[in-house]
Amino acid sequence: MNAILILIPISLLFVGAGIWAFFWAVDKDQFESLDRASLEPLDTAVVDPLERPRAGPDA
Amino acid sequence: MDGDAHNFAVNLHCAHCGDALVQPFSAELTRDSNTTLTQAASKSSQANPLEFEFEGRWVRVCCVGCRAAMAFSCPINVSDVAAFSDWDRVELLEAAERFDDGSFMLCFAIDAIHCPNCAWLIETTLLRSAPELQITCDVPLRLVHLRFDPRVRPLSHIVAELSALGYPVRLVASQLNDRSAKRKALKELFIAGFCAVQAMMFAEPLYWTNTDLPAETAHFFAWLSALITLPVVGYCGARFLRGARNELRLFSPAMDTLISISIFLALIGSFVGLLMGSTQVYFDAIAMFVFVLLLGRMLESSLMARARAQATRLNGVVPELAERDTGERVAVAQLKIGDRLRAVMGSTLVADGVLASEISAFNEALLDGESRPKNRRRGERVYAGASVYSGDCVYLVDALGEHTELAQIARLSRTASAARIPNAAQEAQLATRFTSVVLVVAVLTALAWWLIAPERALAVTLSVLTVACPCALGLALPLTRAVAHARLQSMGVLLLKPDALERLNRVDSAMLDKTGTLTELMAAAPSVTALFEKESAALANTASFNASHALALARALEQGQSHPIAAAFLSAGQTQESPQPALQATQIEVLPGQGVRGNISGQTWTLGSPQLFDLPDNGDIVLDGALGRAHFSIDESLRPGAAEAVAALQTLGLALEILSGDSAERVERVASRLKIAHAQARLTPTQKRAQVLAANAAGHFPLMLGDGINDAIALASAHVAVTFGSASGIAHAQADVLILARDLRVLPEIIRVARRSNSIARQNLRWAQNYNLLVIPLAALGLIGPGLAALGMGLSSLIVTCNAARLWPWQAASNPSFDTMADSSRAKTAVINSSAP
Repeated sequence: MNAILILIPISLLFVGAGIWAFFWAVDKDQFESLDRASLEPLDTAVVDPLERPRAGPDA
Repeated sequence: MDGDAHNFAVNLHCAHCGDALVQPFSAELTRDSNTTLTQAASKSSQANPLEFEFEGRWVRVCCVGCRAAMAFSCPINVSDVAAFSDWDRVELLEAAERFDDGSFMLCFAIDAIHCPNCAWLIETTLLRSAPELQITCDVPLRLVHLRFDPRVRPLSHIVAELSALGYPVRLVASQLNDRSAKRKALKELFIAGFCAVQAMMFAEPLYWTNTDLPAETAHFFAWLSALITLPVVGYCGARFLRGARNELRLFSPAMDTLISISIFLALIGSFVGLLMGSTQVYFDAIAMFVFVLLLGRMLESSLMARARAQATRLNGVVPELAERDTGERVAVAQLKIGDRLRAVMGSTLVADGVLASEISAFNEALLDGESRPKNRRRGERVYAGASVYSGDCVYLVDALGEHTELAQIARLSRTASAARIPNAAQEAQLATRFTSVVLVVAVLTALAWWLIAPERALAVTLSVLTVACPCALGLALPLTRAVAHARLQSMGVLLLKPDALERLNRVDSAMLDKTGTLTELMAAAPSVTALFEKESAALANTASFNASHALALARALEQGQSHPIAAAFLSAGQTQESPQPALQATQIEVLPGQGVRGNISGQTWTLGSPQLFDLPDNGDIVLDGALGRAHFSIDESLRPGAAEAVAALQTLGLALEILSGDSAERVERVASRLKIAHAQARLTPTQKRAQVLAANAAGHFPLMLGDGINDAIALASAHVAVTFGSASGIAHAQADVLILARDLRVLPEIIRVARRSNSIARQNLRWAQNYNLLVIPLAALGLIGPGLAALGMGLSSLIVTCNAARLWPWQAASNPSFDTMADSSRAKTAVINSSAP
């Protein structure tokens, strides 16, 4: 039973931390544009699109 | 025009991403082999920015994002910042949200945003030159929120850069209210869900029956679940309390009242029990209950918000800036009656007025649906919302803002739409009655049990309230509606009014506008038939004057002109193999509203309306010169899928009718091609409305499909108003349903989805009703404990949810027509789909 008395306050702390983290994320616009997330990796380096093999009959 | 330039016509795939190309509005097509990318960007209104020379070849791409991606290594040529100096006016910032650090937030609609590529490009490019900007792109809505500091980087630079990139911007009302509401809802949902899980975890030991859990431990857990439920009620419950207050103020208690009473009775009862040493508490049920309710509401409200934002984005027919005849630019809000304004070709008039210049032609299609431009001479009235078709003009303002003809039509349609009785009232009444009955039953139960066994009174009353919770009833309609909305949205259809779906279901006839609805306005290739009348012309010459020569002559004359007929000629040349070398016209003289005259290879040619040659006006365009005379009939092309859509609508049992403001001959032609028996031509907006009202009076439920301001009044009176994303803003204001796809085949699909969702909604309602009828008496008799009641409520809502999910297009494969349609309108719907997780 003593374990519960320690673990439960810890779990409550986690709950608080989780809520705080989520609120922080919402306030930091993390949920504003979910469409762009897939392109995020491209952001760091400027990819030269001309080197990409082009699809379609035109290529 | 070199031979190379013709190659692109057969390239039906984007040169960058390989996507199939959707034929863009060819009105923007003029081709010039010298056009370099930067030139194309800086005068994007004249050249089609999606075609350009790249590494010595003429290529086409699907969107400006792809174009810019191909050209990313080229520097963007922002040469003309001065042209955008209007954007630095102080008035613009008055509407903006101001921040403490001196920065401003504005919301732009950028119609050219096509895919996430575009968002990436906009952000990357702007941040490269101004890293302090805060940019949020909403791809599905094509909105960009921009937070900038005008002292660090003036707005004109930003707009100039965006325009050079190929993204012309429009200022729209900020969606910030929506955004903060969305954030609040997101937080509430998280709190409710997160805490509900915790509360259930803490309450779990209380459900163990065959254990020797010490009473103190059980009590401890009960207190814990109470503790963790408090934020749920405190943070999220306010929403229901507010709703309940509004309902009670209107004397119509409904969902929110019952929800609030259930929540707070359960909360108070549990706390009282807790203080008295009992572990019969319902905190976990409360938290879960709130979470399920919020989930349903969030789903629905996010879908509705998206639809609403789409509608406001498309509003705003009249531009915000006007030009005085002195050349000075001025905000429309600062104009006074008597001001002299100049309007150049292609621009839209901002006020009603009297023409002060000699003669100009105006396209007033927005006001009366007439697709042909009309000539106005000095002293005649011109109207706000009309666009200048040919010939720059100067006009004297005599009515502004709310007093313009345009605003009056808009107001008329607003009143007409207010008269429409929404079905939602019926729904609310049902909920009110249900709530009242449950409340009465709960009170009676409480009294009865107080007399029989006071110690069980609270538990039994709570059981009644919980088990009868309008959960299933509350979810039955909104959830079905939300899923139907999502389903329609994936097809490129937006429902703008909350009760549109219910009304769509009852539709039994459809009234269709012609121009811009069944047909696309002269955007497609004209069918060219050249008739030779001047037989007397030298026989030796007739050999060289054949149909393709006539077309080449016409194209030479129309080269560089921007009105729709010129575009029709120019695009006709693209599809037709022209053996003739491109001709060059000199000394081109524009006859405003009538035609064009020019010199080609030493001969004078005139191209224009029949009146120019004293011929009867049959809608043809006539080319006349020394060699002969040719008649071109400019055909409107049917919107893609129109024939199939009409057939499908008839299969669905709808009576169809065409209501058009256009000439009888043109209407008849379209009606016979589509096999629509009833067609009426030359109708004024009021006559259209009368037709709709007559159908209403005859007991029909007509759907009206139209796109012009002239349809707005009729749209407002129709049982269901459907319009296109490209339609005028006033038509949008009236619309229940907005079709973004170009393909008309979505229309029968909308009706199918509406009918299906209605039958599912009715099943759900019936389930909720039968369930409640069965369990409420049982609970009142004390046969169902609160725990079991909460479980029953949860199961019931799960059943309703799963039933609603049946609407999701799992079965799309069984519907081949929808598949092919989805494919052909892929580019359009992709805009919507890209938001799907």
